[in-house]
Amino acid sequence: MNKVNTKILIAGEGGQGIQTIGKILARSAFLQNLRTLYIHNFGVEQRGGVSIAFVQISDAELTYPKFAKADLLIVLSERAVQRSASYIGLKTKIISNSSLIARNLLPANNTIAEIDAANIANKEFAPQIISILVLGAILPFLPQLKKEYVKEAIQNQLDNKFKEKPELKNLNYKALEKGITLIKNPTK
Amino acid sequence: MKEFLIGNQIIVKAALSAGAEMMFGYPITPTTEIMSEWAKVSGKKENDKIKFLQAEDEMAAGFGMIGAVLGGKKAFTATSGPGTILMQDPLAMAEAMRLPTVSFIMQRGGPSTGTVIYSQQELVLICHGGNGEGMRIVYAPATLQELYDLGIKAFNAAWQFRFPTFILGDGYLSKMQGEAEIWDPQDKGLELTPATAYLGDPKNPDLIGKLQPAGSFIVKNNWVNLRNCFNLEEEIFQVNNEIKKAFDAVAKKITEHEAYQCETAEKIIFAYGIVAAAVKQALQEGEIKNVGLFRPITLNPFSTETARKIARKAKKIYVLESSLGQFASLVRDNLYGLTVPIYEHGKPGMGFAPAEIEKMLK
Amino acid sequence: MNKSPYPQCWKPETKPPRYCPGCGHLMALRSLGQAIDRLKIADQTIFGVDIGCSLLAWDFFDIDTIQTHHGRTIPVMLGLKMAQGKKVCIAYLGDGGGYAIGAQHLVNSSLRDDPITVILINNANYAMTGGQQAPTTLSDQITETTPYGKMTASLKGPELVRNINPRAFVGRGLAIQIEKTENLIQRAIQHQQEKNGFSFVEILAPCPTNWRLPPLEMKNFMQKMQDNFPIGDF
Repeated sequence: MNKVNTKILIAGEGGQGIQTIGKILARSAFLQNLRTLYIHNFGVEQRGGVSIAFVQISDAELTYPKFAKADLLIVLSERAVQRSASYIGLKTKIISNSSLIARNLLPANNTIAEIDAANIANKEFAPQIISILVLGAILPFLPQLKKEYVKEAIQNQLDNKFKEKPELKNLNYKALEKGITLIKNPTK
Repeated sequence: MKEFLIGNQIIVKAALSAGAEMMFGYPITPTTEIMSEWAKVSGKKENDKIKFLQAEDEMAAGFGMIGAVLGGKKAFTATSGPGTILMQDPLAMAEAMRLPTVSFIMQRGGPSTGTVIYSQQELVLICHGGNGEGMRIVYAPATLQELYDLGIKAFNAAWQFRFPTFILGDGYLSKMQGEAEIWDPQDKGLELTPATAYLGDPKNPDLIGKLQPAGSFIVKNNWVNLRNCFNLEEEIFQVNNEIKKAFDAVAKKITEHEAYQCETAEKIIFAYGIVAAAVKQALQEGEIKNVGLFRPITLNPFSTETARKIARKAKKIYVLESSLGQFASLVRDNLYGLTVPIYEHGKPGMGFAPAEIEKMLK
Repeated sequence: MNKSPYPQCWKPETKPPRYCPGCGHLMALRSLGQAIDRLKIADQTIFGVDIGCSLLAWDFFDIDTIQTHHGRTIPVMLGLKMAQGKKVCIAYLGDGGGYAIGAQHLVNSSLRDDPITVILINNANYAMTGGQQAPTTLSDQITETTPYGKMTASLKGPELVRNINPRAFVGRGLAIQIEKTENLIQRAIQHQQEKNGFSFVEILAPCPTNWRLPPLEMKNFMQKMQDNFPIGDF
């Protein structure tokens, strides 16, 4: 993985929290004084289409929000696999939501980490927590990001929701920790 | 203070820092958040000087902006694509009467409704739209930081030099989120050009005579009558030449560009806006030494002299843009007479990723 | 003391005026001038004119004036009002600028209750360009672009504005009734000043040059106009 600029693509269905993950990742990097750029895909047919977030985290200045090939691809739905296929390069590492994506849909030669994200979220937390769970699973692949800043970014992003229901805060942090444990060997 | 913002939010901050008091707009992707962010500011009780109008269409937005400017307030609008087309109606009037309007144009796919996402296909419309001679100041930011810096500069340039002024960006700049230093002009000792009224009070009627083309105004005591319609061929001939003369006189003061790695380069890439940012990133990341980047910061007026000086020494020139030749035409126009071969590479509606550019050059 | 036969706020240097003999604009501009004189607001007023015969009034008054693009006078005057809130902002349009190319601005401005005054001269044709049909052209009226008559409805502007905005000041007058129209205009301006809301006055105006009717027929046609477009307060 390119140490200087890590290119992350997150793709899934609307409602799976793709943009939430993207925003929190980017904000974590900003809080930590790393360079970062985030953009979401948008367009008229985007409602009901696949939701995609482009995030870059770097030591050097970033100016262009998209990239040709991702260093790290996170796919949460079957449609997302097809939609993001062009961003998969030889070195792209993939985190896949095995709850919804069959292994044989994924490229054979890339490093793949499967996480049963949707099912775990539904069973152990709440369906919408899937985004934070997946966020946790991403962290082992981004050693440059310090957890304290990720937690601060979660706080920033979900502040209004936490104010309404204070118990959500702990639930989300628990989901983050759980997500981290889902990855056994990120460097493979 | 470094803040983590999307481009549209940065535009609002730049306008406020520059002393803008009014925004006129119409909902259109990708600029719509500029309105909603401005509305949040103008809606606060303590901001009673800050005003906002969501007009019934872009023409009303543009003409409302003109009214506010005539009344001596710094006003701006923002639009894209089909909105940019409609905006040419008011912009032509602003051009004819040298009105200091400021417009943020965040380009999207064209022609027609196109896509709501990204492109660089409104360059001709902005540099030379309407039925005039392109007497417009056009800045093209390449990064979020430049969006802020040039955003402030646009208001100063408009009110100092009295030409419709533009920030020509794109949908990616509008929607991408990153950091920008939101600096206060006061802290940097940057003087903001004050706005002055053409109609109403307080006004300086003598100023009108110095600014407006002959025949377009009557000043009597404190009353000012303004028009943009003339009766005779000779009158309009004179008006056009007067405006051009005034524009050429300020061109040298305004013209800006960036020349990266051009001194020893065999190949020069001409690009503007976010495409240029991607080129620079490609040259840096790929450690490509024999290629330079010429990036106009003002598309109009263009840094013709410097561009020619640099291009003359090169063996090959590339023009990269998200269009099928709008920028290339401008480049060829300015490099006319040079024999260096020019290769155009245009991708309307799509951007160039740095890795893609690296591959092209290797 | 003003010894001139003209209203005080009329610019003497641009007189005699360039309007056609018998033009309704001249009568309306007299009513407007008298209203401004009576209210003593020549220095508090900004006047906007549209394209067409209203354009000829760009240098008519000793009042701040702006000539705009066709149909766009209303948004310009709104922008001016937002910048110069203490001034009386008046948009002076014809039936083409107000009801065709600028219709959406009239509709939306009245909807927003914008604190401006719109004075619209209705002579049932596009006069400056030679007498083409307009939204207020009557059904059997012969014009340059309806050589066999128009055969469709005519737009009732004040009625439309009243339907959109129940609070606005709305009226229709006759150009020839200079004093009555002056009063209508005065009350419209006062509505802007006191109620900070939208005011609209349509004035039925003769256009001898383009109607091309002998004098008796002119009188009949003006009556037809009144029958189609009732005058009074709305």
